[in-house]
Amino acid sequence: MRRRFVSLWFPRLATDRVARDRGAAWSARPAATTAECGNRILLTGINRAAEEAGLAPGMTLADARAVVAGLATVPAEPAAEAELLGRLGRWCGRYTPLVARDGPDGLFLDVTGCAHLFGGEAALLRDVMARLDRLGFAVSAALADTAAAARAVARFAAPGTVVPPGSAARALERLPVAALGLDRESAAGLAHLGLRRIGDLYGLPRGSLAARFGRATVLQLDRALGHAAEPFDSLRDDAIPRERIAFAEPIGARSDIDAALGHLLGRMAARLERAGRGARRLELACHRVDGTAQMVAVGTARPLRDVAALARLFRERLDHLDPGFGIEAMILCAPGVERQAPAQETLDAARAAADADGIASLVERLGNRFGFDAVLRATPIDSHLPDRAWRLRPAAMAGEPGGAAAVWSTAILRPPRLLRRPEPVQAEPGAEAHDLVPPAAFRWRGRRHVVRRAEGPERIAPEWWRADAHWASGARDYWCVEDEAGRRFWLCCTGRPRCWHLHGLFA
Amino acid sequence: MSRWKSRRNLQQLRAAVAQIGRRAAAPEGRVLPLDLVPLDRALGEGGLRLGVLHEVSGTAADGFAAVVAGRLASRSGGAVLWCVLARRGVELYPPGLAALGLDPARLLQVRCRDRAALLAAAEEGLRGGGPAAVVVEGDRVPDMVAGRRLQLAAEDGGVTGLLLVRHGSRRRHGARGRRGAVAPEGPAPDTLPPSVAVSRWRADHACAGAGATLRWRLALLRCRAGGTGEWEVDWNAKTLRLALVSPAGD
Repeated sequence: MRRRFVSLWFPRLATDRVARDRGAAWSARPAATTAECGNRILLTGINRAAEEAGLAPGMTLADARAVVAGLATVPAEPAAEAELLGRLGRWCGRYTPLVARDGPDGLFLDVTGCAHLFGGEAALLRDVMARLDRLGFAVSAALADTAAAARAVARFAAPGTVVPPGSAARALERLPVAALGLDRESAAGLAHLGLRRIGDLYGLPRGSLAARFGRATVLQLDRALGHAAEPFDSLRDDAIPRERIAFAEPIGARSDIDAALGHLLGRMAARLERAGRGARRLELACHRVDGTAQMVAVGTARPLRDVAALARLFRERLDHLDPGFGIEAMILCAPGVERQAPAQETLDAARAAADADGIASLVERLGNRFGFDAVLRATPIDSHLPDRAWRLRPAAMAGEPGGAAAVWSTAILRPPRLLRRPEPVQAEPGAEAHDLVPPAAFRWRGRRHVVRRAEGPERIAPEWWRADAHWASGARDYWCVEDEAGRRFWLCCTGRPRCWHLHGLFA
Repeated sequence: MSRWKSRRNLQQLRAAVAQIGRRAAAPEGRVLPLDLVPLDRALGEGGLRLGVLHEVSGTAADGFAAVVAGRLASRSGGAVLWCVLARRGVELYPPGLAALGLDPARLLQVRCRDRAALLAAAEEGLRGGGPAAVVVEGDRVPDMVAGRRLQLAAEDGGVTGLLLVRHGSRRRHGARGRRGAVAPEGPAPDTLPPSVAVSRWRADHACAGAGATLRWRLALLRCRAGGTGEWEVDWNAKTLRLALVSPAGD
């Protein structure tokens, strides 16, 4: 299949970045970004108004000030520009998964087989340019058979040009040799010999060209014309680690699938280890021969790159996999990764680490099966109110067990079970009748319980420094009562209005 | 001397019988002593056997299970998985469990929608060998198939399982007519539904202890390697210890 590339060039990336922060008023006036070079200050990027006023990147600031007195300048931030370019690259993922950086101010998009989704190549190019323009970026784009040809056309010919398949040589013919991306010395040398246009190089003997101007010149020409392959360093690779395995014969047996997955996990683990990362989420796509793909996703409770542990998470999920007539390719990607420091092996830490690992792997197995929000761990809250003293959080999110904040009071006996909210009970006699006396019987959820023993009261007052709607009725008197069957309840009598509630159960 | 010898013979016999079964007998150190001499003696092996299922019923079942699970967790430094059936508005209360010696920082809850999910979660916890103990709450005794499955999982993972059950037979036996009757009698041991649990306990609240103590009446209804018995014990929330209450104290 003939490959097709889009080259995007952001000629004013540096000033466009600043203009996004500072608004339209800043970009209406001549403005530039500057960088110190030796003991001079040079312009690195200029906006449209500055260009119209006659400035050019590479001028010294003193010269530029002489031309435009009121030039606004901002120090250049190459790191921020590179980060912005990376974001633009990920944004371009809407057109194709294959996006690569092209120098500090350009992107390559491999749109092979993607253009029809946007109504053709010309429409795709128009769409890219229109959207980026709306986002506030000056952009020049071109589409050609090779990345280098697209780059030359985008930067040196009319923006928005679509070079038809197979006609790269004709499109490049009239462009200056600098469009090949040669270094300045080679370009000057070629110009010195009168070789000003790329077309001038076509008929020349390659041996002498390489001997005179270096192999790079010939290589660039070959890449532009499609005679030599150009490496395409996709951005996606560092964003989402992915590993792929394709089979000469489709596989269907569970043991084969397990083996292939083990292979993929091994490669993924090695890659994550090199990057100092651990996976929080893994997705396995099994592409079947009938053209459909089956997805299996697992989550982890901690950054993880241990092959055996990851394989265990997948094992159960693979039970539901339907290989159909066979799987011809498996792709494993890790959409969620987090930093994971290499483990330090020490003697006494080993056991604690093994314990924590055991718990985390349990959380993972349960979480993948029942949902991570069903596996809970309690964290204490510093409050004397029984219903505020703790909070349940998903165990995959909570910190390590026994952290510094975990202080649980054991001084007072409390029921092992609590109702989420105190539920009103029908007490006999009612609460109005007696003060500080437990009821003789009460009815809760349709069942009558005769109180045989009672212990109390324990008065708990609300926290006056907090407005809590549930404690608006004032202090409560808590009683521990036992019914005739030996069941124990934690009853409370609210202050105003006085009425009985059930708040906890001892079994 | 001869008595000691006969006990040793008995232990050898037990080991031999266990060999006939699927697994070897509990090796030395694979029991959890309750540190209460009569109870440990009644359990036959010097304590609760680890890596198997135990069953707790009664009105204080939660409390006794929390005490046992807390001991298991603090002994091995592991965690406790509590499989919770999502009941109407009732939740485990971590401060209450803390007072029963189960450190909530070691407690992991999994909330299950139905009984099937509950048993699946319990099996997952038992088989993996991650936690020190798994507490399974469910109203009924798991049937023999489910129970056997849990038992095998516990043996595989070496994790102790505690089943919280409620014997529904009280109502069937006509307790309605005895409303107001004092004794919270459970079913007689011979009418218990069959279970795979190695030991079956009933824990009921006894008359209120003072201050930070809880008093329970513990009954060992059945134990595979030991006998039966009934004791009153105090749980002290300050010292986090069980203590036997001597009958003469009444």
